[in-house]
Amino acid sequence: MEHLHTVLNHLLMGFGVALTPANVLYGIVGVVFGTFVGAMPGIGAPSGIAMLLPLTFGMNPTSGIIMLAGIYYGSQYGGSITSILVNVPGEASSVVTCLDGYQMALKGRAGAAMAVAGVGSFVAGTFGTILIMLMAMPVANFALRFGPAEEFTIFLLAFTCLISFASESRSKTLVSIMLGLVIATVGIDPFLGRSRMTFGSMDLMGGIDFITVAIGIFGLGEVLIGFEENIKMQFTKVPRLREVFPTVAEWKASYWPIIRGSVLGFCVGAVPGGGATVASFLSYSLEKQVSRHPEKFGTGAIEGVAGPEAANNSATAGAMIPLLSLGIPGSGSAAVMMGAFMMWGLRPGPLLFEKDPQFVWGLIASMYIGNVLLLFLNVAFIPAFVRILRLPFPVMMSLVVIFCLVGSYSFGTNLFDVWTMLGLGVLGYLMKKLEFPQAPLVFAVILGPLIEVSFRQALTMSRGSLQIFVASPVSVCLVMAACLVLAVPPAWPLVRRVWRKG
Amino acid sequence: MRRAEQISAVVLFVLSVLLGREALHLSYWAGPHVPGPGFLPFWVAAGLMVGAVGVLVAGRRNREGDVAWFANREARARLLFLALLTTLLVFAVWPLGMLLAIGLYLLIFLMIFMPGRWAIIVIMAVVTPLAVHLIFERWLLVPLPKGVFGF
Repeated sequence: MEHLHTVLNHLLMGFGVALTPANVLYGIVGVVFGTFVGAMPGIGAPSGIAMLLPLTFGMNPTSGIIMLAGIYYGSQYGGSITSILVNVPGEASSVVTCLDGYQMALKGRAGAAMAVAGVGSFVAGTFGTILIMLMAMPVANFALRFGPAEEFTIFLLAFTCLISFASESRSKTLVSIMLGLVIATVGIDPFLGRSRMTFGSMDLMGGIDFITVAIGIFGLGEVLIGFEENIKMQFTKVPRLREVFPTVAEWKASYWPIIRGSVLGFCVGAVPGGGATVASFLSYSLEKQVSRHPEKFGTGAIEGVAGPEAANNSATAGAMIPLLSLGIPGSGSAAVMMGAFMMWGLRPGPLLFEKDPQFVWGLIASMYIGNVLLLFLNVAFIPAFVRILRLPFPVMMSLVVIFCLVGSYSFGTNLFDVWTMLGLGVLGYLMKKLEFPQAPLVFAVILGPLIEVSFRQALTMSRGSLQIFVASPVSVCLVMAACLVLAVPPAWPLVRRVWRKG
Repeated sequence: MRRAEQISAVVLFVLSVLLGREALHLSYWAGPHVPGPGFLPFWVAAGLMVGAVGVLVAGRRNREGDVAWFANREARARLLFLALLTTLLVFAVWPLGMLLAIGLYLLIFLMIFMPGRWAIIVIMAVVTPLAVHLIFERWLLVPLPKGVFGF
């Protein structure tokens, strides 16, 4: 009860911060841009956040994070627009929405599909925000006791989760993480001040900024892929406002999928490597399994839209828990946001709630406001978004290239960063083509310096003994969890086979 | 994609050897029991090597046939043109200045990909540099490179 009282007091303070005119405006800019980014094939949420990051240089951090978070969860709302109306997913997490959403649109029920997607996203987003509010602070308080050894083991667990739960191959995820760590080690050694991995280049002495990496890998890499594919969008009939109300039967069919999707999405999103895409696929398969008419899936079943859309939104909220309370991003977008925290001089993690309560609670309060705004935008303003999306593809892609270029230049005002961004853009393109996941690379660039510092601090404290990593109950649990996470998925099919035979 | 995967694995393996060699030039220990600057790079190179071997093995086991890298010649031409034009844009920033380079880039880019739609092309080529100037130079106070014409 005392915890709830404290939370409500903090939340009131958060609304005081989030409801200032400037922050409301930044929130609106974030959610509108996020919806657009989500709807636009070829630009993902991480690239959208990376591209707008340079605009937050001059802002106070609270306004900046309100805008970036708006892009993050706004993109999940927006993903359904093109999935339903064009059968082209704007986001990877909206791929499954195409299966039934587009079929509904062909049957003239696009409005109902979009309304259910919007309401499902709103319910899931609000549910997720409530859980962030209730869970993030206790987790952060617990993590306050962590020393360097516990910090390192929690990073270890995060990386093993990334490898184990990745939808791509484990070897490829490992390579992505290692490439990110290579980039993170370029520059000056944090302990001794010696240059390393610079290969004699003065330009590399300062290291490679995460913004350059994020813009190159996510932004330019995506543009190159999108441009090669030359996506053409042909919209089905765009629903009018009076056509967006689902029937009573459709509401009844959507009720439970939204609830199940919200819970499932939040749990999956909180695990690094889980993310909105995995959550939406799991939700779709869950709905198909529990349905009395699984044969209707793929032909326009509204449950196939309601569940996944709720799940992908709830997953974005889930990813905020480890980010805010432990300093571990749960997804590629959360990783870029974590980089932004560090750029503003804030260290996400347990101390954030103590040192910058206005920042954290302002962000949480803004998520409530943002979800209401998004529900309104996604039900009432669909025709307006569609009009923007009808802009020629080359116009949008060329604008993204310009944003990538100016954004990467503006951080260090150095053309070397722009060349680095171009090189990383090519790397991002190659990774996408060869099916290497991109998010773990950015993840490792951001977490790399923190991992190294905690590891070296712990070893210095223990005079070189690795036993420090199993010296406390917390680190023992974390190391065991990391081993289990690595061992169970490959061993599971074997265990099942033995079980069935036995 | 099988061959591309195998080639990427070999490239990654060579990269891991080069990185490992660079890491060995740095001190592995900084003092008694204190890891030095070469500690993490060494293990990262080792991890990259393991990953590269994993990708190579998976590539050999992959029974799917090779898929063409580009869907068609048009896709390849489009991509190469974008890469070339973007590289030229960065080269043009110092002599011409960021704003003029952006304007010219958009003019050429849109003339090729949206031929005949002059109204949009000209508006984009003029309005975008202006917007970049207002947002980055005026609002965010980022000094963008100036060219021979002074802007």
